[in-house]
Amino acid sequence: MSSRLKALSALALSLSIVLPAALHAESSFLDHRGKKITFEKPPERVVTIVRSAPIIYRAIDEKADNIVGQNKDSLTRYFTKGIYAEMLPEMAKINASAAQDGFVPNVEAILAQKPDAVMQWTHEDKLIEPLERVGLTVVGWQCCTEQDRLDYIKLTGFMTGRNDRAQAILKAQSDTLKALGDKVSKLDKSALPTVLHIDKVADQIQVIANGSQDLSLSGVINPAADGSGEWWRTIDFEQLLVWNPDIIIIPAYATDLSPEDFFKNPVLASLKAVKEKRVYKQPVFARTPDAPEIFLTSEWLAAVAHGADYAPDFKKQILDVYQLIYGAKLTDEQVKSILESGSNAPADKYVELFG
Amino acid sequence: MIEANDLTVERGGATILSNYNLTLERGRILAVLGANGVGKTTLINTLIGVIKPKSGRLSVGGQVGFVPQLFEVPFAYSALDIALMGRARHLGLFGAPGKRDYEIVRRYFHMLGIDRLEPQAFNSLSGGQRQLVMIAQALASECELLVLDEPCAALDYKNQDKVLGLLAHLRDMHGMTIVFSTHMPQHAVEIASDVLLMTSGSKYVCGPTAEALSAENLSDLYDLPIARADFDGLAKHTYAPVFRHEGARFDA
Amino acid sequence: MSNSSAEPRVNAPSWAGRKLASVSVLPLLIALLVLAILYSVTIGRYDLSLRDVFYILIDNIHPVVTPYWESVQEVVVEQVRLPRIIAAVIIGFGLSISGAALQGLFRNPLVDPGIIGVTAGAGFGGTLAILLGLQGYFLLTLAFLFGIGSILLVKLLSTVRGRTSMLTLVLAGVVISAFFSAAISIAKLLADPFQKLPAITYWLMGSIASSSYADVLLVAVAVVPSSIAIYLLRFQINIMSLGEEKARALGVRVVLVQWIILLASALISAGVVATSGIIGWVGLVIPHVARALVGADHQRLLPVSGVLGAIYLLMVDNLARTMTTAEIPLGIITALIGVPVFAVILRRLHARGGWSSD
Repeated sequence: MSSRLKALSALALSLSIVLPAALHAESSFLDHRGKKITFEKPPERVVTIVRSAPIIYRAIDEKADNIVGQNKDSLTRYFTKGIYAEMLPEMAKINASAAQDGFVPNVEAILAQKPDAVMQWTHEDKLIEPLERVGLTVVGWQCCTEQDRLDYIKLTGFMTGRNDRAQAILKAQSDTLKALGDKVSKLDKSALPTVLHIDKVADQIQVIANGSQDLSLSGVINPAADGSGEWWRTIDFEQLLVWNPDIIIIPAYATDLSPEDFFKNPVLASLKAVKEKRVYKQPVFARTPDAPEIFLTSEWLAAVAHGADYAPDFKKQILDVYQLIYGAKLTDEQVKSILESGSNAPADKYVELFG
Repeated sequence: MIEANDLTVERGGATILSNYNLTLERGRILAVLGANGVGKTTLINTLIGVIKPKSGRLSVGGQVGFVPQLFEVPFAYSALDIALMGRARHLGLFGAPGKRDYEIVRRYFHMLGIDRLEPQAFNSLSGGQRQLVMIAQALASECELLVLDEPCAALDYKNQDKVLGLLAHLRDMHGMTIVFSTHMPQHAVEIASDVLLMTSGSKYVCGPTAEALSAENLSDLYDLPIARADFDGLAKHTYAPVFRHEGARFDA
Repeated sequence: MSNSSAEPRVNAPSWAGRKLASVSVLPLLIALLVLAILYSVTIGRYDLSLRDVFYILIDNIHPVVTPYWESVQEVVVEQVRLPRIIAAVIIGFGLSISGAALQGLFRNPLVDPGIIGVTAGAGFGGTLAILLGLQGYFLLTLAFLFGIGSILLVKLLSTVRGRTSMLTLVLAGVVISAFFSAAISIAKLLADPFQKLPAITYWLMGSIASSSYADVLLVAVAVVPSSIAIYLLRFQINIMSLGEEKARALGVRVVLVQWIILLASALISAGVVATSGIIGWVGLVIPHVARALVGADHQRLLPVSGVLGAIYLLMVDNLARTMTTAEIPLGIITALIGVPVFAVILRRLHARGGWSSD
């Protein structure tokens, strides 16, 4: 055969493989129950009961056109005000009657949307059975380890056929965390600062004992970690004094607590972290535990604990990450509000660190 | 009909009756007299089988029907409903009254002349009427021994007369054996063939009315002089208390 | 029981309270129930007329018309609405008939499984089961055992030397309920907040929203045999309401009857709790309405209470799923209705001189 003919037939051959595959776009994968889900083409009508699923789906799919129903909680928590409402205004228009109480599906409302797929938690049989009973396809998500979160992105990549997007987002995360890990590994293991996450300061103090965030990525230690599997612990002031953490972090979801509350509280004045004004409010990218951008939190914490080197050019990085994940061009105001610069103004060196 | 030997009965840890002996033949009427609290009710409860004697032997030769003292029911049962309950012994655990049971009860209502009371609420009936319904209930159980706990206690004279007549009729026409308790010796004179005078749980006098029912025995029984009283112009007598207005201490 | 005077009581009704010809009430109520079921199936997001529902259901037995409905509508009727409707009917029936039986047994018209502590005990049993990761029939068994346990405790507290005081019974029920409620709170504290705690909280609230036919079977297994046992004892219950001693004198096997009814009530409560969480006030109020309709004779009262209760809870469930966008727990609605009705009943009873208590 002439070389031209060979080249042509090679091209034809490869096209005949690639084209049909690209056109066919069938995807088959296992959900978190180990159940095989097959979509001949990416579902055009998806209903989400998992609260954070619309965010992840929108991030991977780069559009919200295929989401036809969501949990009421998704609307009230994320899409009525705040950064997601500003970046993704189209999410508020999605019908929000898929579930009202917790995650119990409103089957008739869901059926009314004629969905191709429903995204639901797996931890309770009662959540999925009523959906499968009426013949709906359910993609089950498991809650809520770090690995689970990475899986949500992968699973959504399979569902939407946009594995490229999934990989890109996962890569951004792993690159950042690898760079961070390199820096953190150089730290003196025996002298790592202690960090306590406190979300309630009323009669009693509630701290995160065993959360899902891997604090070693940031090179810090949680004195409240006890391996008990209990997420929170309620302690009294004396215990707090015993631990006397170097840094106190207020989780992003504790919306009624700010660093100023700690600085003004006379009872807490003797704590080391309060004296040194090292009490910080977590930025908004930690608001949703399942959000794809949550890995920024580890970097942020490392910077707060060890200095700006650990989060170089952080503002630019935030802009890049949000651009990548949501296609959003954030204004300077928005970045400041994401960083909780307002609440964190009285804290030590926050303005220096993050501007 | 009834044979009790050396009966000892306890209630709530205390010995109420000790070493009682009692015999009553079929077709006879026994009147039980005694002061309050000597154990009449306990004896009656033992006879009907609600209380088991601690020691001794009791044998009753037939079905027992019981007519308790007047009471109220918590729900608006009709007189018929109440009387129907007497059929319990003839129905199994899971049984319910059928046509025949209703007929039997209705028959006794008719015999007692209280047909028109059938649909009325039991609680709305007068004392006398209720007593008759209760007797209908006991009769509905088709018993051979009828035990009544103070059947005349809350009744006026007219109704007392009715009940006494009824008891005599049951004995005469139906061969029933009857035991009833009372505070009035006159009742015993009227219809009882035997009397049991219970002075205490261990001291008693029992025997045919003609012998055992006497002024001395009654005086011992009630710790009050009881005298024989004759009726003007009637060949009847009774026993009545001689009140002395004594016994209680008053301030001088 | 107090001795009465020879005078008739002024306030007692002279008729035995049968305001309707008792013969026709039950069939009428059953017809009403069937209508209520058909009507309830039409309620929901998908518009369906009574005719549509009838044809869809009949189609399963024998095709009458060629199917003109969408398959989605058939699925909604048979898989989404019908199981929950049947569950509501069974639950309403069971709660009412056991309430009526307990009122007869304890000679007290102010008694129901909730008041004597069974519901709280069964609730705790179920909570414990969820904590231990048990479901289905295991949960039912634990709920039943603790329901029985609470009855035993209440009886123990209120029975001295063989005589049960009604007042003490109700008070003991309050105490035992409070105890088990506290126990449930402790269980919730110990539960892991991500999986077990939400499961417990949701379950306790009382909803049959996601009922499947498996759930229907479970509650039927608990309610149907117990209801039959209770119905078979209808005449004995009549006699029991005279009092333990009088019943014994009439030849009733008092202890056996008490046990059967208590066990049956506990099983019904356990089944209801296992399927739909804590629902109260039904067994208290419905028997009163039934009594006003057909009188106090339990031969009529028990089935009428049951059917009336089934209709009632079905309507309540319809309300629960349509009133607002969020589903309201059944227990809350029955309480909102039950409490004022109970207050009215209480006043009328009090005006009539109260119940004759021991």
